[in-house]
This record gives sequence, structure tokens and C-alpha cells, in this order.
Amino acid sequence: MSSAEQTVQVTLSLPKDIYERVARTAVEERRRLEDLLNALVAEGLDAHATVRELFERVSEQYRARLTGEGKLDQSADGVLQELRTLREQIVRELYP
Amino acid sequence: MNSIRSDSVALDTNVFVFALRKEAAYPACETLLFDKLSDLHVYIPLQIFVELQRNLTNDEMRGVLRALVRAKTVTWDYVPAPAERIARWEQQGAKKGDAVIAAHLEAAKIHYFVSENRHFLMELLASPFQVLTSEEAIQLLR
Repeated sequence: MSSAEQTVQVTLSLPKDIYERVARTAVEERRRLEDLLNALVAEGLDAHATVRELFERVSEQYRARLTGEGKLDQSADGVLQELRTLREQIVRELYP
Repeated sequence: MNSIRSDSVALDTNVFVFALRKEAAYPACETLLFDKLSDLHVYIPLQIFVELQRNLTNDEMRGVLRALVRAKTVTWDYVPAPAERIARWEQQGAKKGDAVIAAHLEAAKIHYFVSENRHFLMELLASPFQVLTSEEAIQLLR
């Protein structure tokens, strides 16, 4: 299990007005309070990250998935060919 | 006068894919996207958006979107490419997929398209936009 999938329990003290805003937003967005808090913390951290750090995180996730699918060592030409094929396939769907 | 710093730039799906894969044959894709994004006004047409969605999971896509907002500006164009422009580019020899991209860029008056797909250059000799590799785009940013 990757560190992104593991969870750690924390106890958090919030000012009452912040708590009320979060609780109200969770109701409006029909989300669990802890899910919303989790997303807000992640977004707050992203605001401090560099563009490279943001992309590095996605890249790590993407490369791990491709490794699992046995596709990471595909040649660059093979990737380009696959992308060209996908483009024609999408165009057939969007512009029949 | 057009400038890659002041005009919108469209990035092809292959630039994103090679950057995220950290493809050794195209290292400039990673440099352009990871290190130079904040110098660019990025334009993403519908076709590229859908291609990215097909290549990435929802989580990966969210991560890319979160990073892309760090560009100078980012414009998402969800309008399908105009049919008459697609037909014209096809008549000029472009494959339909590339004709759609050309039609998007032409309609939105985009001057720069960054792609590692050399077929584009061969098919679209009279395009109203400049097709650059990531390496060439970085050179223009220097």
C-alpha cells in the first residue's frame, strides 16, 4: 500500500467559526466532514508546492500505474503511435 | 509581433504524456511542463482535454489540473472544432484527428502548438500556427 493510500488519525482543534463553515460546506456539497477536511488540507499544501512538485506527484502516481500495467518501458515511438490511434478514435466519436 | 511569452500556446497530449512518463527520448517535455509552465499562457482545446482524460485516471487528471492553474493563464475550450474548418484541413491532407486540432487552434487564433508529433509538420505545411517541439519552445522562452 502506497503512502497516499495509508491514513493516520489526528485530533484537530478548530476555531468554532471555521468548524461551522466547514460543516456547512460539507452539508451543501453532500460530503463527509472528514473527506472535506482531508481535501482542504491537501489543497492548502498544494498552494505551497512548486509546479514541479505538483507534477512530480502526478508523475510518480502515473509511472507506478504504468509499471503495474507493464507499459512503462514502452518505446517513445510506440507511445506516439498509440496516441495517434487514440486521437483518431476520439475524433470518430466526437465528429461522426 | 507574436511571442511565445505573450501569446497562448497549445500543448499536445504527447507533451503531457512524455513529461509524466519522464520519457528519456523527450526530456524537454518534462522541463517545459514542470519548470516553464508559469511562463506560458496555456490553451487546452476539447480534443486534447478528452485525450488527457483517456490517458489518465481521475486522480491523475485532478493532479494535472491543479498544476495547470499555475500557468500565467489557462484556457479550457470545451467547444467542438468547427466542422467546415475540419473539412478544409482534411482536404489539405491532414488526418482527421490532426485536422480537428488544427481547426481548434485556427478558430481560437492560437499561434503556437507544442508537439512531438512530426506528422503534424508534414501534414500541415500552410498552418496559421507554428508547430514547435518542447525543446524549441524552451529555446524561445530563453
